[in-house]
Amino acid sequence: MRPPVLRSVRRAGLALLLSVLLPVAGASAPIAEQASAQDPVPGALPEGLTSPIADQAARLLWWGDFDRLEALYRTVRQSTALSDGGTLGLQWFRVGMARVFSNDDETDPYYAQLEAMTREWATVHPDSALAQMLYARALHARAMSFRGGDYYAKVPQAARRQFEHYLALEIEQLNSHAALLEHESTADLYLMTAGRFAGWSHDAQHALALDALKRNPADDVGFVDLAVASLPKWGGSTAQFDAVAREAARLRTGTGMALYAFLYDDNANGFSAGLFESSDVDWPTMRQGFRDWMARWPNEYMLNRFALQACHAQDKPTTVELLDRIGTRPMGRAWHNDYEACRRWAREP
Amino acid sequence: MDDKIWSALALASAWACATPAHAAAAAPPQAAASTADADRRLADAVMGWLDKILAVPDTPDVDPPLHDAVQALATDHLARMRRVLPAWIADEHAHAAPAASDSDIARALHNRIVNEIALWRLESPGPAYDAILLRAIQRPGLCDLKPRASYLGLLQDVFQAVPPADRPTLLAGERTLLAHWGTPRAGLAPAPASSLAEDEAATIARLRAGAQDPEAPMVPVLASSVLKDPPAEPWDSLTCARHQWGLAQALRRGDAPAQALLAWRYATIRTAGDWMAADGNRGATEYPLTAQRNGVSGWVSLRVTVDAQGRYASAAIADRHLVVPGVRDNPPAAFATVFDTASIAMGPSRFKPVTPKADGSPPGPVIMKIDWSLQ
Repeated sequence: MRPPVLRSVRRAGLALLLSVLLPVAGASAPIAEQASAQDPVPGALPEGLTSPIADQAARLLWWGDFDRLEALYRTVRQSTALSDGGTLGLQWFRVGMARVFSNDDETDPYYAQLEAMTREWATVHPDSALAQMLYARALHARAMSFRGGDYYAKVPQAARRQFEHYLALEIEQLNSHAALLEHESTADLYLMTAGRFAGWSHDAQHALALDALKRNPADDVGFVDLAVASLPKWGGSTAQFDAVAREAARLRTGTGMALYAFLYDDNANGFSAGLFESSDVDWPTMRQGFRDWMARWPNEYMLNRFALQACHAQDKPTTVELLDRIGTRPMGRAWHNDYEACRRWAREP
Repeated sequence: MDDKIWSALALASAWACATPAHAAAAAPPQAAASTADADRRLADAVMGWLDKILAVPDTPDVDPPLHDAVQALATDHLARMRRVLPAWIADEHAHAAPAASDSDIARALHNRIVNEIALWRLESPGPAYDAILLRAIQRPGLCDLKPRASYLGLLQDVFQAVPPADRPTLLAGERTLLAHWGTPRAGLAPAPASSLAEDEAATIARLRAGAQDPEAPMVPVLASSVLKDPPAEPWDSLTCARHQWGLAQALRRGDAPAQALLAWRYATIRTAGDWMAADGNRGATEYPLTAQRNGVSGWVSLRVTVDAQGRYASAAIADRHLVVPGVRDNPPAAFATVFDTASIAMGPSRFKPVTPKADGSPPGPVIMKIDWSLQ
C-alpha cells in the first residue's frame, strides 16, 4: 500500500498531536514567566490551548536537559487521569516534544544536531525508555525534514531515499528496543506514525492503537491518529473513518459519544465536499457526543464548534440554543468565517 | 539582563557628580573641599552600582543555606569595597594628568572596577574549585538562565547546580577571588592563542557547510539559532549555551581541562562593551565607542594573509597593546578586544599589496600595525 500523502506532513503531524488538545483551557504560568521575549521555544500554542506540562517538556528538550525531562516524563507517565480538557498528561508531554521535533522553520543541520543529541542520550542512558523513544522521534523528525510537505510523488529522488533511510532507522530503533519499551504507549504511537508513512496497513496501525491502550488504558491518542489515516483522501473510506470514530468513543469509557463528536469535528475539513455531504457522520450521534463532551469538559472552544457543526447540519433549534449560550463573544478561531452566516440563518424565521 | 542599564545608570550618576561643569562651578578657594565632596559622591555612586551587581536576589528555588552564604560573601565584599574605594580614588588622582577632571577620575575608577570584575571571573582559586566549576558549567539546562537581575544572582544559580557537598569549596574560592580585588594578579594565565569563540565559529561554519557530526552535539536552541541563515541575534542565554557547547567540544577533542576552562573563562567574562549601551551606528572602522568613552588607546597588530597576487585576503589579531585609564597593575582583560573588530575592518583599506612571488605561491603573512589614538 502506498504511504498516505499528506499535504503538509510536518504540520499535519503536529496538528495530529494538537488536535486532541484544542478544547483544553488553562495556560502555563510558571514556565511562561521564565521565558524571555528573545527565547522562543518554537511552536507555542495559543493561550488557553496549552498546559504547563507541554511548555515545560518543550523547554527542557529545547535546552537539552535530559535528566529533568525524564523526571517530568516519569511523573506524567504514572498518571492515567485526564486533565480538565480531557487530555492525558502524557499527551501534553508529547505535544511539548513535537514543538521541538516538528519545527517547520528548521533545515537539515538542525535535525542532524537533534539526532546527534538524542543518539547520545540513548547511548548514555541505554536503560531509559524515554531516551530510546526520543532518539526514534528525532530520526522521524529528520526523515520528515527530507520528506517535506509536498505530495510524495513530488519529493526528489535523493530526498526520498533519505526519508526512507531515516524512517527505517526509526522503526529499527523502536523495534530493537521493544523489550525496554513494552510498557510505553508512546512507543506504539511513534511506531504507528512511522508505519503510516512506511505504508503499513490499516489493520497494522489499528493493532498498534489497541496495543497502546493495553499499555496505558487512558492513552487513546492512537485512535486520533488512526482516524486521520482513515480519511478517504489518505486511502481510507468514510466507513472506515466512521468505524474508528465509533470504536474510539466506545473504548473511552464513561464519556458517551464524546470522542465520536470530537473526531468528526476535528477532521471535518478532511472531507473535501463537506462533513455532512461526504461522510457517514450521524448528526444526532455527533450532537449527543458534543453534549457528552460539554458535560464532562465544558469549554468555550467546544461550545463554539458545537454551534458551528449544528449550523452546518442545519439543526436550527440546536444552533439557536448554542448561539444564545455563546452570546456576543464568539470564538473566532472556532468559526473561521462562518459565524455571521450561521447567526443570520439561525435568526431567519 | 539589566547589567547594561545599571552600568549606564552608574556611569550617569558617577559622571553627573563629577562633570567638568560641576568642577568649574566650584570656586578656587573651596577646591580642596569640593574635590573631597566629589570623591565622596563618586564613591557613593560606585557603591550603588556594585550593590546592584552583587545583589543576591531572594529566589525560592535556591537552597536557603546557599543563598545565605552567597549573601554573606557579597555583604563582606561590599563592606571591603566601601573601605578601599577612597584609596582607589586617591590612587586615580595620583596617577591622573595635572589637568584631569573629576570626570576623568570617575572614568578611570569605572574602568578599574570593570576590569576587576573581569579578572574576578578569569582567575582560578585552585584546582579543587576548578574541577567543581567545570562540572557545574557543563550541566545541561544551566543556560536556560532565570531572570535573576544581578551578576551574583546568576552565579548563585551555578552554585546551586553543584552537589551541596561541593558548595563550600566554591564559596571559599569566591571569597579568595573577591579578596584579590585591587591586587596585582601575577599568576593570571593569558588568553589562549585561539579563543573559544573562534573555535566555535569554525565548527559552526563546517556544520553550516554540511559537516555532520561535531565532537559534541548542540542543544536544539543553539542549533536552531546558529545554523539558520541568517543566524539569530545572540542573547545572554544563547551565548551561554554556545560557550557551553564550545567547552564540551574542546574537552571531547582532548583539550586539557584546565586549558578548556581557561578558554571558557576568557569567552564568558563581561567585557567593557558588555557594560555599556549598544555602540549605536558607528562605522565599522571608526574609533570604537566603548574605547572612546572609556579613554582607551593603543595599537593592534594584524597578521594579514595574502593571496598569490600579494593582495589582502584575510586578517587575524596578532598582538595588542592597550592603555586603559585606571588599569595599571593588571592586564586590561575587560578591554582586551575593544579594538579587534574595528582593526580587522580597517585591514583591507590600510593594507599595501606586496610583491607576488615568482613561483606563484602566496607570500607569507604580513604583520600590520594599527594605532588607535584619541589625540
